[in-house]
Amino acid sequence: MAAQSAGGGGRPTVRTLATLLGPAYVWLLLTIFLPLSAMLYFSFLSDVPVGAREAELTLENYAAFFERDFYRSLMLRSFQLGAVVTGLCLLIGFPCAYILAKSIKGRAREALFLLVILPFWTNALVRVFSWTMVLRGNGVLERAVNAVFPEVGPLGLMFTYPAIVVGLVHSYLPYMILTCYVSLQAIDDDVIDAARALGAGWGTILRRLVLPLAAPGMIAGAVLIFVPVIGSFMEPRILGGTQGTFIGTVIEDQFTAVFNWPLGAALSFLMLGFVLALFALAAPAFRRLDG
Amino acid sequence: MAAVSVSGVSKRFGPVQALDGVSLDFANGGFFALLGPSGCGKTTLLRLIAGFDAPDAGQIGIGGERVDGTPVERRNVGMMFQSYALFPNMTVADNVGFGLRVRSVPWPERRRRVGEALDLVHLSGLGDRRPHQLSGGQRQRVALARAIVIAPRVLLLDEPLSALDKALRVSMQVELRRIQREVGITTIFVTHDQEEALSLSDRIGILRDGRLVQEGPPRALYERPATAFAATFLGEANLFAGPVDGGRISLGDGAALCPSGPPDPGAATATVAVRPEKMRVTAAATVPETGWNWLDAVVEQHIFTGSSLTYLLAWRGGSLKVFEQTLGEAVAVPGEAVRVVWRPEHTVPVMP
Repeated sequence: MAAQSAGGGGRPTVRTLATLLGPAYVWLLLTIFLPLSAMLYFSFLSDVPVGAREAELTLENYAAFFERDFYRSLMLRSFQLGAVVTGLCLLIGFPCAYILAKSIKGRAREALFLLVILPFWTNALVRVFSWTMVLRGNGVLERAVNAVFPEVGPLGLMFTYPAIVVGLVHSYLPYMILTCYVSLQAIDDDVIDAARALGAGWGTILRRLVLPLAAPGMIAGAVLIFVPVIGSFMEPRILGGTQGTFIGTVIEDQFTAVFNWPLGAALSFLMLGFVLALFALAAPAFRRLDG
Repeated sequence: MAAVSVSGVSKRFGPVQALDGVSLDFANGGFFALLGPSGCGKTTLLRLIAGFDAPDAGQIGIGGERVDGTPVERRNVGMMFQSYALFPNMTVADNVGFGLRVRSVPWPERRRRVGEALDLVHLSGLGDRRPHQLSGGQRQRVALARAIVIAPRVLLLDEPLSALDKALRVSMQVELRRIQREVGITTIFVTHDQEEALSLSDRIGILRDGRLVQEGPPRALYERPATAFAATFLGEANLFAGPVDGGRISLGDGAALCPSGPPDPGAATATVAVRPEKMRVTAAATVPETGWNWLDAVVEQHIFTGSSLTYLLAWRGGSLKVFEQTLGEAVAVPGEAVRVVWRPEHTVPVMP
């Protein structure tokens, strides 16, 4: 992408920059960096340093991850969940964003956009619980399906892996639609017409033009979805039941149930490390797509 | 045979009748300008010929073959857009080679033809650049090279020069004409700029409100406009209207104009157009040469523009404009009463 040149007002002074950037960075420092540093410190302690408990520095919490298959397979399972949910969001969200950006104009687009954003206006917990109404045995979906096809019987969707995926895709789909929409919207219609005039069919236009030009939006959407999904605990817990054990739920347990903050913190940082490593590996591919 | 023929084509977009029964033939190898104000349907006609839209009625033929049902990607037309529409994710060479790649032209031939096309538009050596690294004029040349490299049956240009500044536009006009002649490709060119249409094309079609007003070579259109609109849109014109009296157009008070040809015999009134440069400002009460038309007016302003002088005059029936070359003769000053004279053959009857 071409860099935007500074506006007509000349170069902002250092003081203006400091005044405008300062509050945001001070806020980020206080609310993210400090607690995160504290967490990093915790992750090297042997116990929670509360009251009379004695805590000493140790690598045990990190060692636990590498010694026990349980955590490793959970981490892998979470990354798989992230990949599946991100992939489904891309598969469902990209065509939707394309139609919104290129085919629908005016009020109809506004209305359809509102429907995309609507889930954001409801509480996340409410959204997930409303899915239990739909997915549970004798729930809305099962009754509807059986009303049309009585021979189907119970669907058994509740407390399964697919139920978790459904809930997560529903929660995160708007991110993909919005980021893809922004990058698709920026593609000049004439560019697509020009390709058609040169003899390109839809497949070629999609492969050689639309996908490369929309890549920044797709990547942004994928990152926005992938990271929170692998750390998610609410959807797996509520919709997954006994199937809903992921690294996110285990971390949450360490903080809320088991009261083993150091282990929870260590697992969190390991997750962060794996995410960063994954992005570092994917960076060359991203750059190529970004063209 | 005409390279492109359009017959009885109509197109409606919702409540707007964009084109209404337009018929036009575009000669092989010609450079044709579609001229008209914005909203006249000229771009719609271009897009119908390209195949982006289908006409509601009428037929479109390219190279003697009906193409109404053929989608744009199979019509083999070269289209250049006002925005240039270069592919931002590809290099200049990949932009130009796109159409060849789609046609599965093998790489060595593709490279040769892309090189030739870039040579033609004087951009050789810039093949590795990205569109955003080019100037406006260079982008336009890339767009042109991309459109002609596929050897299209017809080249369609949608307001190709309007995004350029004046100096660049003039040099691109010359360039465009050179390239068109060199390649010998039938070219249809949409513009709202009458000067551009006059200087570039060998035929012009004037469109207004979705209808073809007049079509012909630039000179003929300029000298013999068919309607008052054609006269005023293509160049400037003074219009006079009045009742027809013995083959002359009466302007009241005994003054009358002799037109270049007999006015419509059935009509009670007639309109004539006179180009400002055909008129001459002379001293008041000058006796005009036999048969010349004349009327008395008062100078309101004279505007010196270097090689010529523009008089804005007022006469009984309204205002007049006269262009005169600056030959160092005496100049009438504002407020002066003058007589404006011109030949009858420059008094062209037009449809109102």
